[in-house]
Amino acid sequence: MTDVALQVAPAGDVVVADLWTNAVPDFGGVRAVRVEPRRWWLIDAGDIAATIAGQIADSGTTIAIGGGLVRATLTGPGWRPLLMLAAVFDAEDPGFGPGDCAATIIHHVPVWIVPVTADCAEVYFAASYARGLTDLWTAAIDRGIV
Amino acid sequence: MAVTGPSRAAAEPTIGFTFDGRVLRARPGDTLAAALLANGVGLIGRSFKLHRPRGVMTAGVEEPNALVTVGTGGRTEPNTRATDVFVYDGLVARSQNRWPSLRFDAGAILGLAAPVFAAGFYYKMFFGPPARWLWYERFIRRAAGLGPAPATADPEVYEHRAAFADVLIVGSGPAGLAAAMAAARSGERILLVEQDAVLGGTLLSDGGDRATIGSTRAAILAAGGRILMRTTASGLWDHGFVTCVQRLAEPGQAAGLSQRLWQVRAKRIVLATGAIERPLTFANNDLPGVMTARAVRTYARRWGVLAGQRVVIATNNDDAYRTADAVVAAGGEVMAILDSRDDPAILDSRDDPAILDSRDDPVIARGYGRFRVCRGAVPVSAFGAGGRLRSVDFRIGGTTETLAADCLAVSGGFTPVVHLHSHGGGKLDWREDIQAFVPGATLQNVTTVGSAAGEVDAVAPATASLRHPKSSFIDFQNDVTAADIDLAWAEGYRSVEHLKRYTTLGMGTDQGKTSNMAALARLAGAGATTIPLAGLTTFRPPFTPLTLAALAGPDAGGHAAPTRRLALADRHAALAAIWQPLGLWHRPRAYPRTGETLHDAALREARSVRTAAGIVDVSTLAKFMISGPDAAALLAIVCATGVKLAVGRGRYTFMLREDGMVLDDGTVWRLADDRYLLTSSTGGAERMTAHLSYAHRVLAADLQVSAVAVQEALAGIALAGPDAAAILERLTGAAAPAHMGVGSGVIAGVAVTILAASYSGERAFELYASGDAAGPVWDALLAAGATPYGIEALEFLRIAKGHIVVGGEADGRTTALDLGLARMLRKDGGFIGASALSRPALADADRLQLVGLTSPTMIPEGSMLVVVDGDPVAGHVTAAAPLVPGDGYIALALLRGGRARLGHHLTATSPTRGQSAQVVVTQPLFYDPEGIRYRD
Repeated sequence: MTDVALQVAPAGDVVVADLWTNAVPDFGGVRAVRVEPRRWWLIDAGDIAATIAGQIADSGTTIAIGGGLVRATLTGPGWRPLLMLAAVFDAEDPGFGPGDCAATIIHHVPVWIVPVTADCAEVYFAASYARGLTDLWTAAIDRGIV
Repeated sequence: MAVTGPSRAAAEPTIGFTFDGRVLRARPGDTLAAALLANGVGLIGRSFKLHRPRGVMTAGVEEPNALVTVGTGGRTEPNTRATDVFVYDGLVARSQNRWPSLRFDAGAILGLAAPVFAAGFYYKMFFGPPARWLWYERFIRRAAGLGPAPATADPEVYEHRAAFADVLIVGSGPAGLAAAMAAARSGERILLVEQDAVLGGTLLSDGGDRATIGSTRAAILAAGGRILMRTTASGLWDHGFVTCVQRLAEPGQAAGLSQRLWQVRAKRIVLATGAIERPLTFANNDLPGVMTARAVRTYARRWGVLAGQRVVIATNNDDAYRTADAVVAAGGEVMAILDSRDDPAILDSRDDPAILDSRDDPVIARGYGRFRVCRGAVPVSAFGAGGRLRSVDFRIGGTTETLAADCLAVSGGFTPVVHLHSHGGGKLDWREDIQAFVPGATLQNVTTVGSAAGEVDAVAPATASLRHPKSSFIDFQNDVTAADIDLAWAEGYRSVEHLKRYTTLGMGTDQGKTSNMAALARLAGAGATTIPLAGLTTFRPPFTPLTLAALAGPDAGGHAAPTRRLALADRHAALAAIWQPLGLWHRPRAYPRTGETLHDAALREARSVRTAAGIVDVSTLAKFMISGPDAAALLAIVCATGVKLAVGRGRYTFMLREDGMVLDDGTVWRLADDRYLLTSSTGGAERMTAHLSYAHRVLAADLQVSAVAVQEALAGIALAGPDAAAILERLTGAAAPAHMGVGSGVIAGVAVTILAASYSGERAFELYASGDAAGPVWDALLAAGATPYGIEALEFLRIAKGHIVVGGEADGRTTALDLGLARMLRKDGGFIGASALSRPALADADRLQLVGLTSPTMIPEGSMLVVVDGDPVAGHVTAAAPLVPGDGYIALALLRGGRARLGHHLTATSPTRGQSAQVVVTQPLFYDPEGIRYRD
């Protein structure tokens, strides 16, 4: 049985940066998650997002999507086994860690898993699914994760 | 009903359980079968068709006879093998398929009429007119099945979990443990699954180096591997995918979390699934007390339970001799070993120690030295009374002799468990020496080891003819006798697949695990051919029965799918909305006021939109932000209409599949020079996402464009009605945009994008705000006097305007021409589906075409359209509604050659609902045909 704590909240500030090439841009220290070869999510960029939009205007574009997303923060070593529930992705692979992002399905729901540290991961998904996934995880945490 | 001699050494049982209400005791670790035998219970159930008395035959999951119902209430699990339930304190077990009691079963009368219930009984008996079948059915349904299904919901929780492994090992017998140890040493990520409650497999009954159990367990765990007990690999699918069902609680046991379905993906799979011992075929071989030899040995050595005091062993192989040792060690008496091999001879070596050296195998030699061994002997018939075995007749040479016995341990050889190998597409090879199929070539990275690979004792196949084929059972669970197979053959059922269906052989909970090879041998014998040529039925998952709850997992009780919740759901709930599932979404259907029916409420809401203003939550619409210098180019590929728009303008559009059929429809808006918003239907959101991706990534990968799904990033509220513009202007303080114009504003402190589009036919605006901030906008619109309306009223309004719905009128078979949209098609082509539109068949005048229908009475939705009753169906009603405002009813329909039938009178009929209406075919537009009301 492994420990994990769950916190679910609106994702807030998430901006898509779509680029026309595979080049890895300099996002100036903003937390950027590569979710597709040419698509990045700028997380909690704040006002810098507008600056970045200007900087990449010739090579891409930005769109705010945070209003429709929920961010689940899983803290504790149990985040990996928890994300194996009703899942199809190997979150227990030790090679999957900070700097990676997995776009996958959990309990029929499209999710993006973003490991933050060895003991913490964020999971983003559409807000409409929040109740179902939260219930699934909460019940599993209460039972004990294996 | 007691077997005569179960005995158990010393320790007192410590667990209480009941069987048919009788309180019994068991030891921890007992299976229900072991505990029942230990308590002297030999009669456990009644057979499926003939209600013959049945006891425990095996000690494993292959058990065909000892089926019981375990648990109470929602935890009731019928047809559970007593050999696969571990007793827990308070376990409640009941026998099944008997009335009024197990001992005095009225259904046993069927056993007396067994000759009538021969193979194909149902096919022969129940010919006749359908009305007669309806009469038969009542009785057949009452007799069908075994245990009763639970009548209340299961309160337990079931979980689905993924697992990945370098190597998955199925089975923890000696071969499985060896494979696991080797994998652990190589540093592989191991998953070992074992269906038993303890590791070891045959080590538990046959001895061997039991120390390997502990050392292997430690090695697996040290290598970071995982061991799953009570876990059955039930199916091996493509690409190393294996489904495993783990019992976290025994059947009927309250645990909270009852079962976990593991979905395992393994790079390599090792199958160490063992072998199943085959019974022998002779008269009354199904009586309680007749068991497989290894089962007798297992009960004695693993559980300290002796299945009988006076044991006769009948075998065609060496393995059963080990059972003789186990029986004696447990305090029983071996009356004789009937060994069908060799020339007839009775070797009572207790009188002739010289025979000790007559066999090379020390086990066999020891048997020759200690027991009465009858070579060339076969059992002919078993006899019992009161649910217990009394004696065994056997034939040796030309004579028949009788032995008193209360247990007959039989061994017809071993059948490797090749099920999972076969599930994965593996081939099977025939092994004459063991008279069984073994794993052959495999399509996946699957290896089979140990007895599952054929490492079992050789057998001498039966050659003697059966004296009593009508009472010699081959498939115990389905009461299929040797005579049934003979009859099927005589009646022309040559294929093993036909034989199976005709006789029910190999069906049921055991799927013929103990019977298949004997049946094939009988079939081959009838056809004077070999078993491989006789054929083999297909092994399909699951290997053993699994509960539907395990498959449903966390979805139990719902839609087996998640529910999508609107951002404004709490506000709709506060207005007492009636919810309507639409795909995964739940949307407000109507907001009834006190005393209103759904229809009343929808009519009121629709009238409010026609006369004042209404608001409807349209957040579920698919929405895509298309940005970049090539945004228009991408839209020109995806949309079949023109998409040249001035900034701040929008238009209706639709999209085609590659085959030219309408895929979806919506609107496209130019928000800025290089930014467009594309909307499409709720139900087609995922499909449209894939379609855009296909267009962008496959057809036009060089375009500098971004397509981002913003379905939930933007919540949407449609404000519609003659007062809509005034309300909007009051709330934003700015002029409302013209029809199909784009605006922006702030409502209740929330920034909104305003799209002046009308679905209702009235002046209307779609207001989009950030998904997590739209609540105040809804509140402000309500406070400004707009009436909330649901999708029922929305349907009334759109039908009147003839707007199509994807899945209704655009049903995947209709083109733009069929739907009256052809004039909007872009003439220069270049869009997906354009090249398919020139196919002559798509211009056929007799195609289904969109039309309107009117009637003074309600038109049944989904009904067929016919000229007169009995004519061929000419079309169907896709959507119907009352006309608002006005009298009478309207509908949209797809009608063959519909546009040439305007003014025709038809009947809309729904025989299944007993509804019909006389209708007149019209144009599919019933309200404001000039479009005056929605223009500014």
